[in-house]
Amino acid sequence: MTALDRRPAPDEYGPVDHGPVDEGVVDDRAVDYGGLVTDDFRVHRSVFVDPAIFEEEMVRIFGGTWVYLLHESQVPRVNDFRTVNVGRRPVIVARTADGTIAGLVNRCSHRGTLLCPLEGGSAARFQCAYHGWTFTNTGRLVGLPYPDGYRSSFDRRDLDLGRLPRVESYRGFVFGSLNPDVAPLTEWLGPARAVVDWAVDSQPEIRVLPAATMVYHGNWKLQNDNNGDMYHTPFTHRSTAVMTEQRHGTGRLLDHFANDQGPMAVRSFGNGHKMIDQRAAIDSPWDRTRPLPGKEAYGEQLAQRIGADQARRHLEHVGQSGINLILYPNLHIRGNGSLYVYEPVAVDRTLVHTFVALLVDGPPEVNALRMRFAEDFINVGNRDDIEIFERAQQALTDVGDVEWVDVSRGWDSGRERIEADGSVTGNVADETGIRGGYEQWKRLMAARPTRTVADG
Amino acid sequence: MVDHLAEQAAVGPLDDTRYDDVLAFFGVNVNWSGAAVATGDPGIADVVRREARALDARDYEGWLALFSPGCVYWVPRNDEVGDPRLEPSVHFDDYRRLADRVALIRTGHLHAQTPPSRTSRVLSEVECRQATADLADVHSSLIVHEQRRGRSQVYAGRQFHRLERTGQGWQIRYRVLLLVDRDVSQGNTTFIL
Repeated sequence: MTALDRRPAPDEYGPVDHGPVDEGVVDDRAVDYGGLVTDDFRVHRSVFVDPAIFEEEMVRIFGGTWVYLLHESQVPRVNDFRTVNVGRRPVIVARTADGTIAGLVNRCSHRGTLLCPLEGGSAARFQCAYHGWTFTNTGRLVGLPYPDGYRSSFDRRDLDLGRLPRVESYRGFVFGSLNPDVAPLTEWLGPARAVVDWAVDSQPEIRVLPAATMVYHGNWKLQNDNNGDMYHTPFTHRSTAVMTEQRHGTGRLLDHFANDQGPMAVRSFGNGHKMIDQRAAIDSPWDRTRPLPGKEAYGEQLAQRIGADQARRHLEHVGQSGINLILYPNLHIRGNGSLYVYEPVAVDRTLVHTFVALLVDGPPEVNALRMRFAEDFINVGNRDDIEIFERAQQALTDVGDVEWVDVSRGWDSGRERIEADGSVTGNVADETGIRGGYEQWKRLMAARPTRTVADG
Repeated sequence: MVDHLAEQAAVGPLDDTRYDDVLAFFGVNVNWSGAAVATGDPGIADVVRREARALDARDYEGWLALFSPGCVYWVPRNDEVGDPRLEPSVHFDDYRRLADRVALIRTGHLHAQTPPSRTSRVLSEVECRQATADLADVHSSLIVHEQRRGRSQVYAGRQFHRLERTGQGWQIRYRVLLLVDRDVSQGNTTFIL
């Protein structure tokens, strides 16, 4: 019998308690983060460029609140797993034997090695490649080679994997938190919950697949801000608008935003969540979608198979359905067809992982077209966004003597209104949602969470 | 505005037949380990070289003219490449979308190419796997060194071209570019890989 064969009895281990934070170990910088966002909504450049503030965000924001992990459809079966990052911490998200989802810190408790280097797969146990320490997908240390070499007081229970103390799911979207004291997920979603409901209920069941990943040399908040910003659309995306009109005429997506008036709105839901609501201006996503590879062939094929009316109903699910919902800090639900997930890498480097949502029982034509639709904006519009983020990062970094940026558009203008659910609605081109993000930034940055699992 | 019906008629439908054909083309080429064939027609390898030269010169109209109207330009996303109807790609473009991408650059408003990228392509190991009178499959290795606004990046991959003989000589029917970093991340590739 080898050491690897030794399995603990199920009741051998109690709950993991990593103990209180040792305040003496970590320098809790005496910075007045609140002063970096003014009452009239200017944001200090250091929020985007200071590496020490970024490090603190990884503790207070990505270690202090709910962070989006993945969609349940990415780990459908018991033992399925995917690796993600919570802030920068590598985390294994696994479907465990009882069907629940666990988040494990992807770091061997022995000598600190990344335990699993793969993007995903299926495994009940993870064995470290370094010395063979083996853990279940609930994080328990169950294999320790040559255990006789350890002293009698050595307690293996201290060496389970770090585990996210909170993992909760809402309508298929799985979030985790390193902070055990965070509010329940539904409470944290607040009024944004109704928009998640709309995104889920407005179409049949979805299956989420990873698509392209974009990388840019800029702070993660530039992308977060931008997804709640309609002010930039006619300027940043002028190339897309001009090309579309030249080649495909008027009445297409982007064309529906001509100025800052109209039926669309921006909303701030609290806790940093925000939305651009374009639904009132997009009558038919299918008609407004610029020609896609296969648009005509699959449109006709579907109509011939199931009839024109049914086909039209399905085809309206191909393109952008009119919402950009951003759940702070890292999830962007783009209509009902795709997801963008922001991963901060450094103060000036960010990954944007994109995902396509396919319909589990939907027509294959619609699913193929959904992917062609998602590939389009990533390679057309998003590249201009990213260029702008890099220009912003460059000047914010290099110009130290002009210190502030302004996100006050629409504030105190008399045109914002508070809704019955407590959310704030503004003109679509106002910076209402961005301000909500910075209010949440201030709130989270005001204090370190009492504990995070990484403090063990 | 372009004449869409005319363009679409020339392009032909991107339907299941075309998807099946692209996938079959990829399948027979990706795992090929046989010997290259001598075609005796220098025009075949020349198309692949002219493509690299046109892109380095930012002669996008000249580049587009190398493609036949029924073309597909495919850059898979996944390590294990599957059916592009069932999994996302980095690009799965027909002629019309390639023309969109060229037009986007030519608007003069594409910030992502202001200033434009400078590229230098190294095209190597050009081999012909199969050629008939009207069809040729060409393999090559590609390294693109890109420099833009002081930052350099390298993209490398293996590519497969299917050429067809048309009224304009040999043209590209399919181009599949298998990037080595296809499932990691791409930078700003608006200069067209």
